Amino acid sequence: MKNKYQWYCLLVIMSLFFIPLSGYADEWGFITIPNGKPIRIGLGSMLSGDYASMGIDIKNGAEMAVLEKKSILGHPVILQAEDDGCGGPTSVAIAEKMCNNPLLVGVVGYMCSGGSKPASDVHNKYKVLMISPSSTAMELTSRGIPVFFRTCWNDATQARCAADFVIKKKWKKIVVLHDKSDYGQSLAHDFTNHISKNGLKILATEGLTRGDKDFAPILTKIKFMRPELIYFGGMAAEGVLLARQMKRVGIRAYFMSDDGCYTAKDFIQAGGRATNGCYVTYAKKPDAQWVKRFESCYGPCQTFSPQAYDATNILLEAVTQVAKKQTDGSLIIGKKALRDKVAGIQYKGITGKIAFNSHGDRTGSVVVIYKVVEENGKRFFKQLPL
Amino acid sequence: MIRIEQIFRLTPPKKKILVLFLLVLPFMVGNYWSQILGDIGIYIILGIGLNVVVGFAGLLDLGYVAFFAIGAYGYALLASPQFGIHIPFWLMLPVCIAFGAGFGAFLGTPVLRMRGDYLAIVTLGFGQIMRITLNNLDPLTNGPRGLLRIDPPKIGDWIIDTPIEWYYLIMAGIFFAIFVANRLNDSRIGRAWIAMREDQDTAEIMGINVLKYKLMAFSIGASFAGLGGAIFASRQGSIFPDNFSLMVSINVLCLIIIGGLGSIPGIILGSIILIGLPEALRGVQQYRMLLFGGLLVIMMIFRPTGFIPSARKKIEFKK
Repeated sequence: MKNKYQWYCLLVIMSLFFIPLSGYADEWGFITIPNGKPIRIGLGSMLSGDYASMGIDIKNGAEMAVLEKKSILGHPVILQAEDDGCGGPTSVAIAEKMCNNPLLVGVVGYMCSGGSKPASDVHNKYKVLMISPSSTAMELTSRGIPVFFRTCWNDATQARCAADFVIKKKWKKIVVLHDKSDYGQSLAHDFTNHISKNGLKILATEGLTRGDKDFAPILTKIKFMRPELIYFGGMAAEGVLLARQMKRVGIRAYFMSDDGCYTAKDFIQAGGRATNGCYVTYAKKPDAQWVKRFESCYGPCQTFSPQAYDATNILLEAVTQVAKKQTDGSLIIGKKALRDKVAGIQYKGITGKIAFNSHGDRTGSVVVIYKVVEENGKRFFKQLPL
Repeated sequence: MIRIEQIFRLTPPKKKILVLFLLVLPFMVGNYWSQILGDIGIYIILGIGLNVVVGFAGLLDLGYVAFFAIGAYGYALLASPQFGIHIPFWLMLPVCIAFGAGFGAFLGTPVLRMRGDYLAIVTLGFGQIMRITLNNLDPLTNGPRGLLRIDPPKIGDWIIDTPIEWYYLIMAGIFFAIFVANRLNDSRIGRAWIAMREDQDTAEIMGINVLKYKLMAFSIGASFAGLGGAIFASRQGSIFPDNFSLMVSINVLCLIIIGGLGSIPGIILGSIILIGLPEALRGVQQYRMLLFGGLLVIMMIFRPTGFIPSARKKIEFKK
């Protein structure tokens, strides 16, 4: 009996601690940031390895937002960037590291869908927010994970945009290629779906291997089908080689690809004249003023830094609105309140107006078509009118 | 209950402290490091398995990841929404081990006559074939999009999903693997493997059925990978063909060599160094891999037999 009595005492004492908090209950719990401690924003992207340039670009975007914000309610904001190597076990380990940091309010990331998929399960377990600037896989938002949002688009949005353009152009003979990766294959699949819904037929679908350098065998096979368009789902490394070798084999078709090829360095510069007239789908051009500011700090803006900048700002904005300052100077942030704030946000970002649907995807049309054009001896991506 | 007391009395105090340390370790280091310890643990299981093939039997296998993939995909296909089949984890563990063993025998059969470098190349090929097959076999494996929402293990209503709970499960797997490997090494089979490793022809003349023992080594080694694969898949929750790249095979081989070929304490130390060190070095950011590579080179200069070489190897090197 005595033992039980002690338990009651302990319970009463414990509940005393929670009385000051009972004013704002939160079913997911709270993040408490003690006086003088910084607020941490996590970032998970590939900072070394094959796609490090893309990952560092994301980091720069997030870093810029954090440096501009400086502090929230007297607490400095710092970015904790981690290299997740884009996938599998490392992303899960990083997710555990982030979610177990009591001073961390949310994560910008992860970069690749292959890393975001397992990491989102970990984040859901701890109910820590994640906003990805670049993971486009459908399965991320279709699984009903409440803490996942993205400032990019999903594969279906991008594929539909490309398909609508093709239908508008009345191209009939289409060949679809993809790089057999999670990303490229999903895009190719969705593209084919939208095309066939409109009664058009795909002549052939071929997968190629990432890292290959010579695609002449596949292209020669395609040549005899006399296609009008080759759609490629994949990254710039293979995309640029396809665009060049297509011309060499003698295929006179248009080439169209995805945001993986929207990079001035790896696509236009590497491909040279062969890239003239290629179509690429990507987000609307970010705010020109912002691009100028970014480029003065970090050099040429690549693919996903605007999305990372917006994602970080949304997170900071939500924290600013939800955080409650205590008399001792500490901050209290309700996890559920923070999530709901992000879910209902109406934010005017540099990539356009941002609002999320119930799955965590961006609403409205986000993706547009670009064409590589050469004007006054300079080659660049030109946005086509909608 | 007398037996447990006896065991307790008979274990030396050093071991008691070690066991106690391992039991409280995850609570001391928290969730993040428990996760890393779990990663290390899975590599220890793989290392022990590959050690049977490379260390005991002397067959250089560069495609070990294939069996790891078979264990992982075997579990994931039969315990995920992919086909709507949900067989419990505990039932699948022996099945995955059997999958691994079966494929080990399947690969072992055609390559039995090969030795040394040729064997390495064939197994290397098999490892690559496995990954590419998984990537291209869309209807079965969902291709590069991977298998998602794989069931975690359950004990009654209790779901094992925190890194600390996983730590204990993996630790149990490691103890099981160590027990089996030690028993094998000390048995007639282990002796036969060693004889075969040192000189295949002499072993055959002495009456050892080389084909049988080679096949056994492949099969038993692969079964450990099957175990590791099942644990990996259910812990990760989603698996992709990219998780089973050549680098996994190389890493496992490296950790055996770093720790000391043929010695189990060596494997444990090797995995801690090879998997744990890059995480510990996160503080130095971009110099992480450089520092890591440098440390490995220095180690190979000063300890060419590995950190904790097996007693037998140590004597050999001294000659």
